[in-house]
Amino acid sequence: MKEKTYVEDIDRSMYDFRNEEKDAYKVKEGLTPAIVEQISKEKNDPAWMQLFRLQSLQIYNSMEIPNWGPPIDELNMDQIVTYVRPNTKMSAKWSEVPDDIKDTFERLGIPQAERKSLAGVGAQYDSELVYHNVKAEVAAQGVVYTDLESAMHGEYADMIRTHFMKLVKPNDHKFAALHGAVWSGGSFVYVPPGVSVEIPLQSYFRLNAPGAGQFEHTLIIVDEGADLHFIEGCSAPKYNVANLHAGCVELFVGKNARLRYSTIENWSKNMYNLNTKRAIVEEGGVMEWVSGSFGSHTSYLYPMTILKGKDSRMEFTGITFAGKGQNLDTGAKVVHTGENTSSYINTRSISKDGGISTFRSSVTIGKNAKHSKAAVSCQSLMLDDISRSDTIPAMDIRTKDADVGHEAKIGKISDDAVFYLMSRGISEEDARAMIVSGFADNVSKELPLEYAVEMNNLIRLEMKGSIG
Amino acid sequence: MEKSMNMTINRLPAITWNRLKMNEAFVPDVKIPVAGTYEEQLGKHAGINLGSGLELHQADENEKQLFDSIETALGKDMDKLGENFPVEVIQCTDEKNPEAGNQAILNLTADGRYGRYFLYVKANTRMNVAVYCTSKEKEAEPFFLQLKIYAEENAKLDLTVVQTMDKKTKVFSDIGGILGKNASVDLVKMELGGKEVYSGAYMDLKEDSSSFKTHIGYLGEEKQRLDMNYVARHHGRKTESLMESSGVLSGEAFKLFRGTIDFVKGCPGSVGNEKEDVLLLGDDVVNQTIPLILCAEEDVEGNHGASIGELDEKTLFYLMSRGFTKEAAEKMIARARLDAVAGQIKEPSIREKTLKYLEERQ
Repeated sequence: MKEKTYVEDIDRSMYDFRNEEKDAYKVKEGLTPAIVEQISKEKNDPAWMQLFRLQSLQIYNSMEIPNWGPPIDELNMDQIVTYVRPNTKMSAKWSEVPDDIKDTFERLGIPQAERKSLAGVGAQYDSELVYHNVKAEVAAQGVVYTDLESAMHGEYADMIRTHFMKLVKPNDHKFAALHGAVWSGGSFVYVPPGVSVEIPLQSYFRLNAPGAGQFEHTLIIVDEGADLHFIEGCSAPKYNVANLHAGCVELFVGKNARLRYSTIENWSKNMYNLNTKRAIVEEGGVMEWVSGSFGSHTSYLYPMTILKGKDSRMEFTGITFAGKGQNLDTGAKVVHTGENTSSYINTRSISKDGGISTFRSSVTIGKNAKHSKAAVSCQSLMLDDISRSDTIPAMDIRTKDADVGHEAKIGKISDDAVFYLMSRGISEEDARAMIVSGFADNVSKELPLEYAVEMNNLIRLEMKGSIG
Repeated sequence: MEKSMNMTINRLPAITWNRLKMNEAFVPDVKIPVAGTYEEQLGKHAGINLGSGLELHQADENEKQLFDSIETALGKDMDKLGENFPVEVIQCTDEKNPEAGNQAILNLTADGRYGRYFLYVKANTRMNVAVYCTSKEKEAEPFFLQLKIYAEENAKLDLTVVQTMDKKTKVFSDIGGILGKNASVDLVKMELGGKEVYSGAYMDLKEDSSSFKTHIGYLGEEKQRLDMNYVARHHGRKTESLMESSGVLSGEAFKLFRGTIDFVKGCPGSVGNEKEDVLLLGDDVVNQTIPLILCAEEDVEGNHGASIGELDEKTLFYLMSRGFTKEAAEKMIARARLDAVAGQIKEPSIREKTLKYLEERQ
């Protein structure tokens, strides 16, 4: 009888370390108007924001839990702490960050990456940013990279008010409403017209407190003709209680501007990752998403792009790796409303050791999006027969002047390919890891080198012990 | 007794965002067909032509039980709607001579009644059933058809359903089946008319090496609404499914095609392929497609491909360089696509009738 491959669970020791809780302040578990008002007071919100939070809470309470995705019955909001302020203020110097928190980010390689290859870094620990800095030469170009709270009170207050949760409205879905009510932390980036930021900016989100939620808000405006690469990373230690991440990302890509938004998501496997990301692209603008989903217990993640301006375009490149105990529902959405727009969604998903991976997408081409093109390609790899992989792509085309293609493929690692590599002296474990890395090549080749190496390490760790 | 019911039909096996409105079709106020006695129903047999090797009878209790256990594409509301209607069984009587005379042609008209047929294909036999559906002149009665298939070991069924209703008729055309070991069903389904059309097929490839192949052709024009749901559920090992659909939409036509290949755990060696080509010819058409591949088995192969849009520039340029106008070129290609599906019909008289219908429609 053919022997089955056994794939070990990932070694998460480099992410799975925890610090003693030394938070300065946290709200009670649960979600009530009093808690929302308390968060608002703690954060010294302007009046409009306080009202916005309370209205969002009302919307949250009036909306149903999605009936179409992975089960989230075990997520009990009465047991989630929605705001945890660490015992430090935000600083632009690592030396001013408390040792235990600094040590966390050092172990994750953030300060090192900042020195080597980043134009600026924001580091969030639980509900607040603890470090934010941007290189002087980038700031000199007029690039603004700061925490959202500071921006809301400073000279960009009007800009924040004009853009905040205008793309993702609280009534979009239940967890967008939750975000609107209890959001905290996150970054604001503004790139002025014509400015090209040569090396990426990065925000890293670390959730240390057990049973807590993280609700950071990222707002990026790339003005006409500007160019930016923004990287987002996230991780958390594993606890035996549910943690929740319901962040929100709103991206505004101006005329002829370009924004690349890369994410390596590696939350621990007790995390419910119910995140919302959306971009709107003006004439001639380009939006590029690069997305790697490796962590979380349950994920709902579908970055959406609205191609509003004519000749705008979007590319989404993603990989999802679902292992033991994980139910990762990921994909992308695109809405073409401008003429001559184009989109390309290219994803890979891997399921092993009982993991469930679902690719879900929607492509909508509106009546006025004449001469638009859309292509979707999704490939899924099943590494054993106890896992699951589903593909649910929807297309809605409302003009004849469109060209839409779709291809989906599902299957296993080719025995012939493994045999070929083994006949060249490579062990079966390495051969299979090599094939899976190659399968994930669509994402790794789009990432900066350091991140591609990290992603390939994650895959190698996932595949470790894969012989039987 | 209620005279109408709200129906929720054509539900996706795995649902997605509700705002897309693709998960199922909700049809309000469907006029409940009036049930008659079996003898009254026999009036419909005027349009049925059975080969010498087949027989038609009212389902007995066991057959009815089996019939009721078979899932269909439109779903439970379609069963509920027809619960007072007799089920007519078409089956092979001459098992010693399985190839000869096992042909049935059903010419059905929309008369507000509900035709429920059980195609019971016994082990090692072969049946060829062709259904041609038309409207009654000057009447706008809805059309209800449910075909359920039970194909035993090594059984083979060629099934054709061609629907050419007028633009006033609501059509509910439902198929479901269970396939035994090495059994196969080849289905050609053409939706060429109707005001609102709800159709589909759900095939359970229950035993090893069973196979379901379907070729679907549709033509949507003016304000027609086509809502389809096709599901191949792979249970047995080394099972095979193929769904090929080809359609043309013009005017303000709306079409939603749901196609699902479902690999259930325990079906290693199975293969499922799905392909859709849609030619869009109208500025106001709405084309929705949702092709699912659901997979709980490692050793399977599932593929889907779709191509949606207007006539590609190369083909158009070639035809126009040979003197065709754009409109003539589009018409010709549209016709060629549907002719290709009609060409798959195994029953010669229905094939010719369909091709003739398409010629007259042009």
